[in-house]
Amino acid sequence: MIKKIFINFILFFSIVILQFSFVKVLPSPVNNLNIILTFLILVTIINYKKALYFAVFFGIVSDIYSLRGFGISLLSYLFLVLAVNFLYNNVFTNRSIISLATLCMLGTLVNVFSINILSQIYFYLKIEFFSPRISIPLFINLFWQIIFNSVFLIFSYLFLKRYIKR
Amino acid sequence: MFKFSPKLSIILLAVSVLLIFLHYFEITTFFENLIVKALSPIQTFVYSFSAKLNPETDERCGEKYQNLIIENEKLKITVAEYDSLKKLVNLLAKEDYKYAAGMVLSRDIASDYQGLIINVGKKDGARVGLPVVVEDGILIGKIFAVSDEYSKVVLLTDSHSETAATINNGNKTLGIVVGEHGQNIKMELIPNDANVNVGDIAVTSGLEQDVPKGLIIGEIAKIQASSSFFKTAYLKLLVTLEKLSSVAVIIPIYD
Repeated sequence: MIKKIFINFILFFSIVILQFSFVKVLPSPVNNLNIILTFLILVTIINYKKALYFAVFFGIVSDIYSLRGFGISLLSYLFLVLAVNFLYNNVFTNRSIISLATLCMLGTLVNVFSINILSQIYFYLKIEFFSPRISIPLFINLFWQIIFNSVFLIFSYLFLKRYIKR
Repeated sequence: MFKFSPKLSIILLAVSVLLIFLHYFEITTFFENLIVKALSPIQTFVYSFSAKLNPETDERCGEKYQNLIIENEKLKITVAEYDSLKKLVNLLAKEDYKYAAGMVLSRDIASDYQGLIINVGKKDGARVGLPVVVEDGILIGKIFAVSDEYSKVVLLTDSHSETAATINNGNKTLGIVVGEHGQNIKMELIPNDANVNVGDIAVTSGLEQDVPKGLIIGEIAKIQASSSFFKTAYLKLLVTLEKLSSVAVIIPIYD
């Protein structure tokens, strides 16, 4: 039990450091990759309850390292896990790679959409001073994020399927 | 079978909302600072490594050679950080500013947000609105939010960033430097009759509270008429924002 908690703890902080201090510094468009999001999607399809806990912890740390109002990442990750779980168990039931890629695409869209909606709510509640701006770069970044997240998720999934189950 | 676990989902959602409230009442500040402080040493190293490491490493080389390259890069990072901090100390001592030097911990980038998290906080004298500079007094942004151990910096390229500026050409032409989609910066509200040329340097005007006069912002690369009264100058940044690792917060002497 303690060993499992320790492994999860190390995994959690490694992903946090990788995402905020490594991936974000890489040249564009690679910096659009969201390891936290792909990890949450992956954990959701393996262990939904665990994914909910991870969403809360990743959300808190993401909010600390974000310029957006506190709570936006936290709530958007929770919505992501709920949406992915629903889609995985009700829509994409054939468990194929294409389903996984589509799930990742929809998950990324849910995440970006909920971040923008929550930012708008925060702005109207005067918690956040900046209103989100819909612009062409937003869609370009979204496109690259979907591509990189999907590729990363598929490789991670195949890796886990091949090596971890043995 | 659809596994929803409504009880757990509702509990965690309620906990999250509670955490958000506690954050805005500054009850969780201690724990947030603790997380940043604990991760800060590793983050500083990983960030510097990621910013400075040449991605074009020859993959055909042997493992030993690759290790040497990595070791060499680590040393280069240390030397570059030292040089950068030395330059900062020299500049700020000469100009008689109070300052707090620090390292970049992470970046926050989105299409509409461009920011840095630095390990300079309230304990070092940082507060919202103070300018953040690099090397020879080049402005990179302003503090947007501050905690005891860290600060969030909005970069000049952020669409929400606005800085009072002047052109350093003897005419003291005033304008406002704003970010454009997180990619570029431009100086707006320059009167059409102002004598502004490509190659002129834009600096802070000193009209903003807490931002000293004369901090370098960028070099004019292109000038375009924006209306019948004003023109816009597109500026070229003099630092690569992606490669920043050491910065300093300028603190007014009266603080």
